[in-house]
Amino acid sequence: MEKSEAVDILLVEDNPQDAELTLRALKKHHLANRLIVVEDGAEALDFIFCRGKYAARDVSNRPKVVLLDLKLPKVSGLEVLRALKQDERTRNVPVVVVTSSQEDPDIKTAYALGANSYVVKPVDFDAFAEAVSTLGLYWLLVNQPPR
Amino acid sequence: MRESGQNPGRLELVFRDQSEERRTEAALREAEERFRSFFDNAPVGKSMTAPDGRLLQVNAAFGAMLGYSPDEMQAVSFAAITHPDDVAESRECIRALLAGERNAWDMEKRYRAKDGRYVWTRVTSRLQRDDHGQPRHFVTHIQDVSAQKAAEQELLEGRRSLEQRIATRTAELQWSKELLDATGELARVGGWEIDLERNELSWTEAVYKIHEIGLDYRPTVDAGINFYAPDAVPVISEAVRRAIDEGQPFDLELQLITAKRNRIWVRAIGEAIRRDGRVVKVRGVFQDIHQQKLTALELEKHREHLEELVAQRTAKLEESERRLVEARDELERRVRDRTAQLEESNHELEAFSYSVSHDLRAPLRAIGGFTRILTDDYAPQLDSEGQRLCSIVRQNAGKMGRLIDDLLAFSRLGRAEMCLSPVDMGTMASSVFHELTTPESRARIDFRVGTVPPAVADPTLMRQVWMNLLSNAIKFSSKRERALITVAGHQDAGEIVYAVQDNGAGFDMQYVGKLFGVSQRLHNARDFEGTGVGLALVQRVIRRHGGRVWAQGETDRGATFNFAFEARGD
Repeated sequence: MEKSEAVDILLVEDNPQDAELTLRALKKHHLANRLIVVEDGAEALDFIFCRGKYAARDVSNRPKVVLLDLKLPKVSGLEVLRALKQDERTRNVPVVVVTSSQEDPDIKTAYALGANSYVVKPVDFDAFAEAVSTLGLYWLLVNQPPR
Repeated sequence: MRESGQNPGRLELVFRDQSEERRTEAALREAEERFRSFFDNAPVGKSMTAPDGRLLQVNAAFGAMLGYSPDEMQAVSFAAITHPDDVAESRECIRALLAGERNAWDMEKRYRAKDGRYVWTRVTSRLQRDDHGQPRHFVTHIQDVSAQKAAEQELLEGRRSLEQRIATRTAELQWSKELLDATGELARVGGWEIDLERNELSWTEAVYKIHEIGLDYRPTVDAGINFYAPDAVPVISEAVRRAIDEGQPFDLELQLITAKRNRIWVRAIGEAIRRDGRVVKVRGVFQDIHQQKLTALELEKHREHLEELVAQRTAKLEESERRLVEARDELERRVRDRTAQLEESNHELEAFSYSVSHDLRAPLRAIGGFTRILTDDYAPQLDSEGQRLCSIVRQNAGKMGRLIDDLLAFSRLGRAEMCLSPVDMGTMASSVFHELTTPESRARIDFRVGTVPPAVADPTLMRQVWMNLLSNAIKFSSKRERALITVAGHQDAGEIVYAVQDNGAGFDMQYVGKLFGVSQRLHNARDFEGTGVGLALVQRVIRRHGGRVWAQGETDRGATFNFAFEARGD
């Protein structure tokens, strides 16, 4: 994936198996062509704000949606969310919080910080694939971001 | 002529010669006129009565006295105007005068006036005789004495009334004195007086009695003072001195030693009596207060004792209270500690739940997901046995996912806050049944709901109960050709009991104790799918509502699951 290319989906996921399953579900619906996966919160922030190895990127080249796991190494999902929603340039980027558990104590906080949606990853693969493709289709094709 | 000056009436005269006769006649006429004038105009009543009692002549005053005119007076008889009680004396008067026993008769006599009242009179009658001594007529003076009589009567009555009042007052005084004596006797109180001019001390009887000394004793001021107990003598001396010298009153309670050597408490009250600004007497009251004093002292002792008791009790109470406060503080501290521990373990449990759900689900998803990819992408390389094995892996991954979800739900139930409201249990059971079944399965199941009493419960939790009990009933009766599931309820001895009965696989009563435990299953998974959490969840919910659960069953003969709440008064 070239750095200058436009990105539709930013997947922030530390579990490589989950990332792979997500990618596979999206691919089935041809939604994964312009997708980038980052494995921790720090890298997510670097990507969003064009820092570190993403310094060459144009910050105005915003992803259409961010799929954000809350449980992340280094910088937590909530911190990523906060930074993203506090910055004028990135405030309008839709963020879908994707988590493994409905027990997650951070759900409320996530909504308060401006998360646009919240999805619990089902254990069952079929259900999981369904959920991921549905949200991919919605945010990439149905949703109209502000110009 | 006898008594010519007063003598009225007929004159019988012997004429000697003309001139003499004329002279005499003129003198007689003059005398007669004088007499008539005197008779008629006299201010007292006068009458002339014949010896037989006929009234010969009366004057105006007599008529006026009785209210008759002179003419009317001529017609009245002696009897008509004499009081019946006076008739006898009047007759005696006439008889005595006629008999010559007396020259004049005085009497008090009541005449009857024209208007019927009686007039008291004083009457004096004389009998006029002629020259031969024969009775000619009576001359009577009648003086009205009714005013005098009335005054006399009034005087008499006044005197009688006065005497009566004196008698009454005397009796009253006597009574008062007796009362005073009796009171003095009872109160043991008397009086005393020092006459400073004569330097004398006098006592009333009661004072003698208090001193236990005879009435013949002659007290003096010094002797009186010396009756007091030695320590009281200076006090009473000073008080008496100040009363005499300065007119200061006193009121003292002191001890006295009686003539019989009894030591008693007395109260002596004194005040100065002044005349022309100078103290002439000191007098007052003297009372034996020995009993009162003893009683008061006794009472005081009791009171002190009581106060001591109260103080002791108060101290004990305060001690108890202090201990109670300590115990309470200790309890509160422990409650705080326990609460903190509980909160901590709740936090831990939440963290654990989160960790379980998050960390266990991800690998399961990977197992299931990649097995699915394997069977999808490598289908040609897998034979049917390989396909079957992959399928088993996926099924187990899914089952474990459900088990994790159930366990999490069970753990949540224990912590969720309850919100009580009235619940229509029959409707809720029917609604849940419909949710759990399809039209096809309903065709096979005979579902009956009896009259089920409403409950006051948390609707969400109660729905979980019906969900678990009914899904169990459906599941375990699924192998019957005709399944029968009955929901019933009744109130029994202060309890509302609900029951779900089925005609399914039932259970062996010897394992009934394991029925409601977590992950306890009485059926193998091949026959009936299940995580073993449902009934544990039911029990947990019912217990949180203060109720109880129990079950009856028989292998292959169906099962009945019951739960009951205490019936609410409202």
